Amino acid sequence: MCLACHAHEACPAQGLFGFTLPMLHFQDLRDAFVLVFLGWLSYLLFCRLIFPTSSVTPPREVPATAITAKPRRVLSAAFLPRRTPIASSCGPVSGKKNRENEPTKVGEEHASAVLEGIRCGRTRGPRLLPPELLEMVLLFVDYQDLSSCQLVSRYWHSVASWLLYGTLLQVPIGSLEFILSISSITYGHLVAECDFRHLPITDKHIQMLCENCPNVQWLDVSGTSVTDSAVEMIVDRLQRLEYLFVNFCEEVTAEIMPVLRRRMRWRGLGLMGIKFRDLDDHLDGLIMENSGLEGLYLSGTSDRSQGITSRSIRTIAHHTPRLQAFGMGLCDDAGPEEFVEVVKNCPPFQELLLEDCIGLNDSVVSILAERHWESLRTVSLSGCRNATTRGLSFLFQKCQLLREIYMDTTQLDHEAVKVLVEHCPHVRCLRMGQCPEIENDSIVLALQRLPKLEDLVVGYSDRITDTWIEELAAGTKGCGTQELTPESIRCDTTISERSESVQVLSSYDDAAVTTDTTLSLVNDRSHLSLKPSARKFPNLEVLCLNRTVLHSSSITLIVSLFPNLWKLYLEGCDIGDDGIRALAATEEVVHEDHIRTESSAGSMIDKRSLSSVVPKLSVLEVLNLCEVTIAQKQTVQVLLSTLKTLRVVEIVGCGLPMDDVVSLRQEFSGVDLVFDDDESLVVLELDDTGDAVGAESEADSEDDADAPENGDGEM
Amino acid sequence: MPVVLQASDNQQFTIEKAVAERSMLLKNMLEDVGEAGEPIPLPNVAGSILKKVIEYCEHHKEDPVPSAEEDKDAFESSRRKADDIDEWDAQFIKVGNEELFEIILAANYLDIKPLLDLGCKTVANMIKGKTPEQIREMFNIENDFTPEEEDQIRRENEWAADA
Repeated sequence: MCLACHAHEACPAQGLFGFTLPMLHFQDLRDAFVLVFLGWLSYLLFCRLIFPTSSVTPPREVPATAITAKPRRVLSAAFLPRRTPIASSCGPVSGKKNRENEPTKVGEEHASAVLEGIRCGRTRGPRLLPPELLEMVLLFVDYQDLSSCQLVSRYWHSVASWLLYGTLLQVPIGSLEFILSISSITYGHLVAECDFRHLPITDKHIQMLCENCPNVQWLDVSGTSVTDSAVEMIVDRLQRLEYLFVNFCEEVTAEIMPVLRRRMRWRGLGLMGIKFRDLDDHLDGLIMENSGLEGLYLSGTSDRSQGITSRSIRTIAHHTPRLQAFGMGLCDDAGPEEFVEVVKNCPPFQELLLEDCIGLNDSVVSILAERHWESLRTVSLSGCRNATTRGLSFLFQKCQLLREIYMDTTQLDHEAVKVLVEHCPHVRCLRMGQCPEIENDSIVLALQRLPKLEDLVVGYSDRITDTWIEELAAGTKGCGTQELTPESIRCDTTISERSESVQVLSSYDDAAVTTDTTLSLVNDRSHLSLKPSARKFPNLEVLCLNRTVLHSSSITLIVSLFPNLWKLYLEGCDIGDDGIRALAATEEVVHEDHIRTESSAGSMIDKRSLSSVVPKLSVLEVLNLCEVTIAQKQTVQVLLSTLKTLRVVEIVGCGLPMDDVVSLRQEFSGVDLVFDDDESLVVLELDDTGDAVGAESEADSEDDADAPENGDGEM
Repeated sequence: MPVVLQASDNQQFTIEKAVAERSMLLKNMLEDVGEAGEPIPLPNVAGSILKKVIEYCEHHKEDPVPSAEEDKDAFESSRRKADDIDEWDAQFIKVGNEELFEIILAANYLDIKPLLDLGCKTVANMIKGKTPEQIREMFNIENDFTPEEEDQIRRENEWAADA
């Protein structure tokens, strides 16, 4: 019997102290706990006096651990190959659970006076910014400045080195080689994260990395030309590697699967675009062996003949307790039940990419929304045609923190977009290409109501007409949208036969676009809407009008609207000889003007500056006339002899006889004439960058009188 | 329901709850403690700094509350941009170095993410384009490298110079 409480044979107090205390006469159990509590409180106070700083700088600890325990940007999915903003990270939640450590109100008042005394005792100069704060500051600093910071003092060196070398993110290739070669000496061990996506790295670099940087934990080589043997090297040599992404590496084959399975503690794997045979068998094994998987990207690893089966789906649903990001495409086999199992059993998803999963229906979507709304940032249901607009609306309504939404080829309609803009203010990327139900208003709504939108894709919808671009031109100014650059709005579409007119902006020309240039696809019947787009993008430099219905007057209009145009694509626009001559004709006018101005002034005039005064085309350098029927050789002759700035002209599939092309080439040797017979397309790409050189050679060969002026214009 | 804050020098400030809730620390505290009405002691923040912080919170009380997730988003891109400071903020943060660092420390302690970012960006902008010597001078930091060490670091960093 316990003396503490008189009542029970074995009371908790007995267990607590390990023995009974006959001298202390507890009234009841509560007293005992009060005693313990008081003891604990005084201990806390004591600790506070000894280590006052622990409450000054809350979450993190000493620099060394701060470095290794840095919140990692995990699993930024290279979901779409290029020009896609990095998908959301799903790193371990940091700094959320620190509330317990915060001072409670009780002990605070007493402790504060003491603390104050200690704090005032020392001068808190800038040098004393604690490491985590200095790190925060330096996160805003670029590479060059970081290297200056390294030289400030030992303390700054330790923090800046980590930022410089700990994460090799998209470092230019030349610098990367330098780092990899020297890092073995000093910094190799620091390198923990490598993002080499789409860099021109080869197996050689991987070898250097493996030799010099043993502590790499996170490696993304998506979209590079590394091979299977590089992957094998990575797996064998980088013992700490936990995240590996080889999405869309063309040289990587299914052979890597057994290599990957040599290791058992993968936390993130990106295998998109690699065609595996028997993916299903491997998948089962892979998931069973790696229970710690946080991210798994398998989109594009299967094809119609052997999609991922419902069995695999079930395995995923039950054996991935930590999965936060999952990407999988094409699953004909699995029905709604399997998907329900996945969304019910998996932990909260941050990223869920389920392309072409026919089994996915509204009920799955609603369960997904119910269960994962708090965490979901990126969702792709492209091609899930059994999810209706009701399901999608519900998803948007629930998942208010969505950042990236991929909804190509779905039943998404205007109502759903309304719900979307209403509830998801953080959306950065919205893709709704080939959604037949999308209307003009949907786009306008998205542009006006989503302030963070950076990437918008629409297309293939009969309901979109050119009015939207007028709205865009007029609307984006007033709607508080942050500078929405033209290249972030895309319309991956060609002209639909039935559509009245489709007006689109496009920017898939990676090489040429800068902030105020864009490619544009215009239907001829939409002259009216050319004007607003000209107002919106007065500095347009690249215009793409492939496969649109144009005639000669359109050409004149284009030329007068966009004075800075230097690249014009007219692929498949049947403007014929007349149209091309019209193009040349407009230039003739300019030239006469131009020459007159020049001679009267008696001095050299910069061509570009002139062109901004005279709104006519005088800087055109690239002209694509592929599949434009050209009957006469003279047409091209006129064109080339009047448009003297032209450097590249593509006339593939124009029906000109070979002989004519040969003679044209001889006549205009300074111009790159791309014709059916050769593979000069590659040359074309290179030419874009070699501005000055091209201009000079052209000037030399063509027209001596124009030479100085051409050269000047290019400088 | 006003909230009373007490700075380290016992100065008291009475502010709206909405203003106080810009600080995650205070927000959580208020949730835990409830509407006690007693002054909340902030032993790590001096009165003059607290006044400044409150000024910031007053001005930004209408802003949407950033979620914890949004903070993480910022980590996403390799380097963060420091040039997107709005006009009012830029004026607000035009203070001496000493005060700037105090504000950063206070923002960190009080867990006011946008203010912390603002402070860090400001410091980062000060660093931009400066030589190590200028940085030392600006922040009154002693150079504790040997010339040899300095040389070696310089050599190792050649790549960044022309990156």
